[in-house]
Amino acid sequence: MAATAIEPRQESAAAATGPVLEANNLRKSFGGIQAVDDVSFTLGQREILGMVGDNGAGKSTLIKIITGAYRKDSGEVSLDGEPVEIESTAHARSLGMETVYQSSGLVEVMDAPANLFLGREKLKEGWLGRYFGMIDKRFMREETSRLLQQLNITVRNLAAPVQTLSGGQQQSVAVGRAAYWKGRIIILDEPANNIGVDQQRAVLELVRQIRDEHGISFIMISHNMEHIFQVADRVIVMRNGRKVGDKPIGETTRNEVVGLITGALA
Amino acid sequence: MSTAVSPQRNGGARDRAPEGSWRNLLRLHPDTGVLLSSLAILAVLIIVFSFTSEQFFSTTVLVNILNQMAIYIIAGVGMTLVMTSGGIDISIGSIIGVTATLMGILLIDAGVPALLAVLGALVVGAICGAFNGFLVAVVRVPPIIVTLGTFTLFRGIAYMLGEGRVYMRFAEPLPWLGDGRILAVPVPVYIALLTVIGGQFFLTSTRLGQRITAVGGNEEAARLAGIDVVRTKFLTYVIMGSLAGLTTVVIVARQDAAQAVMGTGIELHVIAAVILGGTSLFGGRGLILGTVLGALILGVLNTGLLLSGVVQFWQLVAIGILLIVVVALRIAREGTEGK
Amino acid sequence: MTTAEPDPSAMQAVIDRPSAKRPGFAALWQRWGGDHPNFISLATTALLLVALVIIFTLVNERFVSWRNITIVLNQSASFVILGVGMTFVITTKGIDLSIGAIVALVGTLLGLFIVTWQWPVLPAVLLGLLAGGLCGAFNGICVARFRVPPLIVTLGTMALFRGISFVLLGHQILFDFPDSMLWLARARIFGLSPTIYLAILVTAWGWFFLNKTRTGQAMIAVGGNEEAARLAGIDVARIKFIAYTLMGLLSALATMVWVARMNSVQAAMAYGIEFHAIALVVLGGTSLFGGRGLIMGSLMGAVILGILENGLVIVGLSSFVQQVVLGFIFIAVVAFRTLQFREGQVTR
Repeated sequence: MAATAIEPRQESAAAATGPVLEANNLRKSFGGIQAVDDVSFTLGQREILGMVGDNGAGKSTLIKIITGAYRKDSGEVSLDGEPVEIESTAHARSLGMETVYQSSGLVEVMDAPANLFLGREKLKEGWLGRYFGMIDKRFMREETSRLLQQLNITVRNLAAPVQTLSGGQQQSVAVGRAAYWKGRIIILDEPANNIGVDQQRAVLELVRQIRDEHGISFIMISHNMEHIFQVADRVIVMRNGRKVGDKPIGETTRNEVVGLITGALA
Repeated sequence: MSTAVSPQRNGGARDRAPEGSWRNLLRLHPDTGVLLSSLAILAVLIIVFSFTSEQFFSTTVLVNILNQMAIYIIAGVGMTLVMTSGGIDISIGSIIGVTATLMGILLIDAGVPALLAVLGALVVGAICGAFNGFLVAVVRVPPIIVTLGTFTLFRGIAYMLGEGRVYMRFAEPLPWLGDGRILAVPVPVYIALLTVIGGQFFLTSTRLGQRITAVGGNEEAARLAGIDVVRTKFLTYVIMGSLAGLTTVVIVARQDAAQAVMGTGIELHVIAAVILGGTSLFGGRGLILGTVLGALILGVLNTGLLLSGVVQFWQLVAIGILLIVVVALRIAREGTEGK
Repeated sequence: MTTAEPDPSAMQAVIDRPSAKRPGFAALWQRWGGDHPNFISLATTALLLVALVIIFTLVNERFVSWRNITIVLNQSASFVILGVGMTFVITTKGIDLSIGAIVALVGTLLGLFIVTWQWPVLPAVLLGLLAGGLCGAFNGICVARFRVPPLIVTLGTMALFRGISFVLLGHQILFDFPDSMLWLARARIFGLSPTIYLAILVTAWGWFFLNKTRTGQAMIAVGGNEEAARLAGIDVARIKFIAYTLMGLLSALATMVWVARMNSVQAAMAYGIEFHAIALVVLGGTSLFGGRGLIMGSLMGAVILGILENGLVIVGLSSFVQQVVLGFIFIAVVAFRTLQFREGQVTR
């Protein structure tokens, strides 16, 4: 199997309707602290799910359970209606869950192709690849070129270290990488932090584009209300380890969400 | 291979580079600028010395420089890999001491064939490297501290094994590896050349080489991308160790002698060659070809000073100054260009 | 040793349930130790020191004789002084590999001034101290102003200073210093040589400087978190410069002790002492990762190394075996301290 640029997902009839990810009654405690307390939520096909909450509200613990970084104490996670026991981050990735971190997701001194294939380098066919671990640079470059073009990211020189790209472009490459590797669910941890305002818009636009064209679902953690209301279809509010709100974006307001976060609207 | 989207092959990002001037040429290969600056230093030195010494510009001298620098180049390839991974190894001189003593014991006391002794040097070098690698990668002690410790430890082991003896006069073909010639070029030069070609291929075109660069460039990102950081670092030091073993073979063959003090102080020259060659001090960028240039700069400096009649001790002074100045300039330049 | 999973909220759990059984002695000790890491480090170093003394005494009772104790202390004095400087440098998260070369250069100058040119001792010593300070300041400028990594700077100056020594002296050995120069090691005040009092004085000052002065506290801050220190308004470059300059100055002071004891200098002197100096600092519990400097620990570390060398000789091991033993001990201690450090870190 050779990876090529992003393909539209083949949707089976069963999966087309049900949620792609379903979590039921998740719990996780550290010592005496209930970090995640009986949280259930669903992520639909082609849905962008916003997740908000104060620091320490349990967002990252919840995400780390989903991506296999933490083991849950109890509860159930299902993918496409099938219960799964996610054992490690590698396992989560093999199930099609890719995570984009707010920083340090890319090796800044390496070029875009090397970053796109980081840790999953394409080896040359034949004995050179098999016995010498020789990588297929040409293939990697062509794939990168095509992916970037598809995502409308303009890179002047593919051989340049990604640190020469703007922060927004770097983040776009990271998001693109997640999509390229057939992430069916992409988890974005503060995707538009630390970058310029117009670039934030571009990254969010990219998220929407990938969703529209390739049918990928997103969970997006953000502190920024604007970002949530700009792209999310639905928003979950976490507070003190519990889910205190779960609303379609059209049926809520910024003020209501902020109220739920702070506990002013309990 | 199923290609689902946008099958057109041209019009990719690569072709959007603006029309060529020499600046764009530099941009196409980000390392070119660094290599050119090393080349410039080398050229300046050569020009200066051809004025200060009449004998400098001769084939004999140039071949001699290459021959003398062979050991620094071989060890330098390993050091380039280590520094690319964000580490350093100052124990290589002591690894050379251990492996040289071992070769002496194997060849003279045990009377094994040369090939086996060479193999022994490579394997024991790799074991020493594995010890360093274990402490750096698994225990996560800073590389400078680990190798400062093994710098003392390995040298002590070498003295213990050698007990002050000097092993001499080895049977052919070992001495041939040191002073033999093929087409008028000394054998060590070929060994160095092969190491450089192998190292260049390894670093730029193999999976492990790319991962070494990634780990040195951003360890956290490499880990998140599923790269086994511990394994990658460990293997880097193992390779360094075995290349130190290969360096030993050339040193022993050339001197036709082996003893425990061999390799003392070589780490300074090797690290200087790597840094002069433009390999990043902070990891993530390794230039094998730069290391070759760096070693040549040192060689030209040594030979040039010698032929110009300067007291030999000035070489140490010159290397120290050159090292600090070049690094300070590079850091100043990178600093102004932004992170 | 309790090997429970490092859990940041374990303490919270205890607090949350006041009705739960009161924490046992072990837990209290662990909590107290967590609050007083410096004391724990110093205590383990002291234990190691006592254990070594006991072991060597059991092997040979001559070991605790007054005569042998003074020999050990005399031998350790120069390393105690170097250790104070190295503690400063390592506390700022730096390293100095050039101290052996600085000692050689200062020694070479002293030899030239006093032996070859027959200068009076006092101006020669003062110039020697100045030279050491300048060497350190050069390191400091390169590290602080030009932001070259300390490792590279001092590797370069290691060659540079050693090279200058060789240029000045070649392979000559200069000896026969006047008695006033040798006084430092040969005289006796209450049965101990002045070098020992000097070492004690330097240690006391070093402890005061690092723990009780603003500059010393800034060194700890810079080593602990350079960015935070900068944001708090600390002049990071100045602090680093001071650390390396003091290291150079103290290296020159150690040279005086060295010359007084050996009564000879050469360009190749003091080769490899940086290993000893760094080893004793690490033995003493100063963090390799910056931000924690234990002058008293370094003092004990220097004495431990002195005892080890002396004891291994008494036991009858060759200097080669000693080197191997020292190398192993160094690596074991470093590995132990690193694991300790990683455990203390709240990762994830």
